[in-house]
Amino acid sequence: MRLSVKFKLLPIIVIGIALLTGIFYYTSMNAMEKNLNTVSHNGVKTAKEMFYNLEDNDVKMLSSSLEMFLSNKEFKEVYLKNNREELYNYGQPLYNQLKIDFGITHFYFHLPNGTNFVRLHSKTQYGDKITRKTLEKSVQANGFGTGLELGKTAFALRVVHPYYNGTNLIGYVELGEEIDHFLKVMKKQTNEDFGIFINKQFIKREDWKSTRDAKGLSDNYDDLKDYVAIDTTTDSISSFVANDEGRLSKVPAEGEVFNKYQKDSSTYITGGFPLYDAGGSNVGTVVVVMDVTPLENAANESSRFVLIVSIISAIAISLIVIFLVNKYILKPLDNIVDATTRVAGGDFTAEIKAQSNDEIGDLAVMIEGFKTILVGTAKDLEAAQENKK
Amino acid sequence: MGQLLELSKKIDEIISQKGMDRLTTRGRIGLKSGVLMAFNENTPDDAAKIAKIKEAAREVLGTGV
Repeated sequence: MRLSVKFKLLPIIVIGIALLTGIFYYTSMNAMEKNLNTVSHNGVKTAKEMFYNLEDNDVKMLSSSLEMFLSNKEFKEVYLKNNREELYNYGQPLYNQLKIDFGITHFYFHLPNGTNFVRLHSKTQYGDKITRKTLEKSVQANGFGTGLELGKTAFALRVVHPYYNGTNLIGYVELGEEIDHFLKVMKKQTNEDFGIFINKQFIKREDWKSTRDAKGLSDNYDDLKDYVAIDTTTDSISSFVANDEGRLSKVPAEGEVFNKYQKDSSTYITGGFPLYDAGGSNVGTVVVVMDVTPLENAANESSRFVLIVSIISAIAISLIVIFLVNKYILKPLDNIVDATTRVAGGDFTAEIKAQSNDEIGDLAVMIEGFKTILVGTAKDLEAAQENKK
Repeated sequence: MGQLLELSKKIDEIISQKGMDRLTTRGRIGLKSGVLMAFNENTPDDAAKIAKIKEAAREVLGTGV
């Protein structure tokens, strides 16, 4: 079956352009996925920087407050009286002021041997041996001991400093704050959701339940298998972590992206970074939930646009290629075939014209030359036959 | 002599009856048979050429000559 070159070329052109369109589309999708990945990694990185900046700033604030306090002579005189009740009562106005101004929720006086003498924030609790890392660091450094410490059910940021009367060590003073506001500040600045997850080995079941009951919150201890969310900006955060719980204990120091989730027609990406206490131990993970729906929608829209443009371009390029092949190759060839056929049919006047200065034109010139030779030979033969007669 | 010219005329008649383009059709017959379709009364008879032209004409015209 005779098939025009035009139709033989068509599938090759269509397949070629479809392949190019596919590559273009895949590359574009890949670039968008990479972009999403970069945004996600940056989101985790930014969250980590923000969290530890907040910690640094609050350590500075607590340290400054403590330094100011340590130079207060009147307070020292009261402390030296060794009267717990008097010290507690004397310290209340200052403690309340610090609570209002700086959110300081813990104010301790410890004896030089590490036994607590008084808690300005809790009158009835005293006399216990303090074994916290921040106190240990303060003793070792004979200066500030700072950092996050996990209590029974929450983290507190603590700053401890030796208390001197002249050159005599008379004890240690400790200020602390709960860090609930960290996640709130981060949420406010990024509009993302966060949660602090602690391995259950650090939290006692009964302590957790009583704390949650006291705060009027539901007991979420059993939401996850091995971890419990001790602070979150949204209650639904555990549902994002459920599938990645196994990763929480293996999050690298720089943080990592966990997974992508579709929920209620929105797209979320989760990630996290490790949480270190004052002793440098990894005691939990801060989980970040980023709503990437707008970015995903924009990426999908761009992909659709790229696909449509690619298809239209492919069709347009196919038509242009076919038009050019027709104009510069097939049409001149048709003309040569037509003229050659007419010559073979006896029309010696049929002219095979070179219509272009290219290989097709060369072919026309060559066939025109053959025709001239052929016609000349035929006429010579005819003349010879005439003469014979 | 004249057999090839006779054949050529018969072919022209059929072409004319069928309303085909004379020179193009003759050309196709000529190219198929390998014979230049230019004859006169002095063209010597050639049985081989006649057979080739008839065969080609049957294919091109769709009828025997």
